[in-house]
Amino acid sequence: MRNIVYSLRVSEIITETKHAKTIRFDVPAELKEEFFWKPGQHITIELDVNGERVRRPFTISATPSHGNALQITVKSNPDGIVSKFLCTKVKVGHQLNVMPPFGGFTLEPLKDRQRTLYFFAGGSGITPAVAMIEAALEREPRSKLFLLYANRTADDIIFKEQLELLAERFPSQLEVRHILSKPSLWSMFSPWKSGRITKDVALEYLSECRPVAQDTQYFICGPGTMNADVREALRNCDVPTDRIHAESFGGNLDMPKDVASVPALLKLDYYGEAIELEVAKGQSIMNAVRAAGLEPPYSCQSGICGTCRAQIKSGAVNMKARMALEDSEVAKGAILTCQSYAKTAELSISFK
Amino acid sequence: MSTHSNGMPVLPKEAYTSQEWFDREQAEIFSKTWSLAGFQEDITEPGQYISVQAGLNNIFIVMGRDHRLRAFHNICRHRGTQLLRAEGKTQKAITCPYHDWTYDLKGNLISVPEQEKEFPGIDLSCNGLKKASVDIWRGMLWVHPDENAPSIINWFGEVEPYLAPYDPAGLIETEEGYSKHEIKANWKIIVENYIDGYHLSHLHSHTLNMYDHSKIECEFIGPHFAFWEPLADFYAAEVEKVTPMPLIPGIPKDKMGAWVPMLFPGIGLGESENSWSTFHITPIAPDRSMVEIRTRVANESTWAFTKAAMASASLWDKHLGAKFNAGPKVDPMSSGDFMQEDIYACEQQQKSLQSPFFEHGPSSKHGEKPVRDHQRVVAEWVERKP
Ligand code: FES
Ligand code: FES
Ligand SMILES: [Fe+2]
Repeated sequence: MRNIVYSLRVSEIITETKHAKTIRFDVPAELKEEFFWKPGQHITIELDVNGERVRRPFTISATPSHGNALQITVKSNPDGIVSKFLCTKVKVGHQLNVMPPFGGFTLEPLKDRQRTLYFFAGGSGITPAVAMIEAALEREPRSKLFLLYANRTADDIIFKEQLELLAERFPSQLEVRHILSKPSLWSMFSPWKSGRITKDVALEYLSECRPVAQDTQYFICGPGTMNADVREALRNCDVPTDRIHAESFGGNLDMPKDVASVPALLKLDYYGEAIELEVAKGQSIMNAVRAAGLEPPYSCQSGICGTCRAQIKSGAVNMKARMALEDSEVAKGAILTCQSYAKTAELSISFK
Repeated sequence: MSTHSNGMPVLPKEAYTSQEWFDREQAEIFSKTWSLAGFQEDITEPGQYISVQAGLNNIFIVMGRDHRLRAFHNICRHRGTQLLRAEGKTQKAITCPYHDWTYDLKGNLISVPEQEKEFPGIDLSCNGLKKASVDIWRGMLWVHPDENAPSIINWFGEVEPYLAPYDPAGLIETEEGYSKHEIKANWKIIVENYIDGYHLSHLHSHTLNMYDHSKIECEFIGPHFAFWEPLADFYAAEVEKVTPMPLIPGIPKDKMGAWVPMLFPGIGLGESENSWSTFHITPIAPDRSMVEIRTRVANESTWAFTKAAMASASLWDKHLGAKFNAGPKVDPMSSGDFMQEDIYACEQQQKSLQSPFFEHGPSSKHGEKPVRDHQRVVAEWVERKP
């Protein structure tokens, strides 16, 4: 994927909760194809913050069908420059720099299948889940969907009404349950449970929400540590690993602070162009490439989105984080350049 | 295969009598299709299992702690001993009775007695149980011997629109509706009887007359036979009042009637306005088959059933009876039970097939077309090149 940024007009802004907004974009006819997405994919927003270019991925929070606008739903995060800007500064009519949809955490509806699809979403992690749920309800009529949605309080539930409407429209197909970690005593809303998704909660959930279709798939879309927790809980209930799909969203990720590295000579195959450059000790491959004046694609810069992916041809790197890659892809030489540091003094890497 | 022209049976006589045909059908049909293994409610707890024979394969289904079903070939990877019998509940592991090799519920081989001494260097991970496929459709459990079987929707999806417009999973099983019959006839004779529209108003003139046999709609959808007929007028007029059992909710008034498909191979359903049953034919020998019938009815109180039975009794006394008026003990044709009538017809037909004087007679143009179509489906499957 080349690194192309388009300027799109903000067409609508919807307030979802106190801290979350949905931003819709106009996509001109000639870009429709470029901006076609799969449920679960994200777009990258690029901002200029005090002369520095900052990019962040945001999941598209709608399903790609008839007439649905391209939209993201953003929860303002106190330390997130981009999310704060999007939630407070952006107005209808503004132009924003956007990179086309991307990402491998997707659900492709299978029309002539019956499946049981479990979604475990936390906070703003509902964004890919809701896009996938809508798509499956529309195009996988025999499948049953279970959503377990974790939030702090009832007021933090994004898409609360939309989910209720969906459950009403598809009563035999969708079942939504809520779990709140800090339910307010005064709230009228009573969740299925309070607390967190532990092994016992997962066991209870799976025994109450039993699969009819035996092709079960489990999607985890949580912020921070929720993914690891739910994955662990599911594994403890003997859910096979190859049925669990996860993507991390926002929040703090436990990442090693530093990885070992050496200064290296990097031979680059940059979309067919041969370039040689130097990588300093402690410098990521991504930063070295950008320092050389090139424009490689990137977005989250934290190993989640996979936008900066490249292929290693010789030599080796150490990767800090690599959530966006499957083990099998790593075995075949895929790397995330934003997370990679030289391990050998000579390296060759190709961008395609 | 056969030189019979249109209107004549497609399969030769040997198809109903020879061991060779029987073996070919076992290998090519019953071991390569989705088999009915039971009802969804047969397995409800983690660790619970059932085992079933599906053609040449014995397969067991067990529920994991995630409440998902798994199916495995019921064969120990050591010397092939059958691991589990019939049905039951296991804790966390399955131990072979012969030499105690032990597998977990995911099919992994987890222990081999005296491993170091007797099997130095064995890789346990290469000796896990062989996987099969399992799924639930219309409230029934289905197994397929192939781990990567085509999806069950692929197999049944096209016939679905021709089935009753309610979900059988919402009904409850009745003990009175259970029966098992060993019938001295080839499985195809029983299928042919089930799908033969020509016999309904003759053999069953006094038993199945609550349906209007003149308005039958039936056809083969792929390998499956679909069949529907409406209620007879006298019954339709006041069905809510005179149904002998509570009506199953969800059937539009103009569709009230009986859906009686025969799914391939040999799995009949009887889906009506007030009961739902499976009619599962399992071949045992060229001239012997087992038929197991299980029935579900509307999930209503005992009182609702009593009330319906009482309110409708006088009407049914008038309309139902036996074809000949001898006592049921003497003549099955006077039992007043259509199942007995059918079994009798099938067994007599099988007997005659042994006679050197037997010759296939002409086959009726409309009523018996399904019979010829089914024979064609069977012929196609047994002749299939791998
Ligand atoms: S930029 Fe997102 S993984 Fe590297
Ligand atoms: S045959 Fe099963 S342990 Fe030997
Ligand atoms: Fe009959």
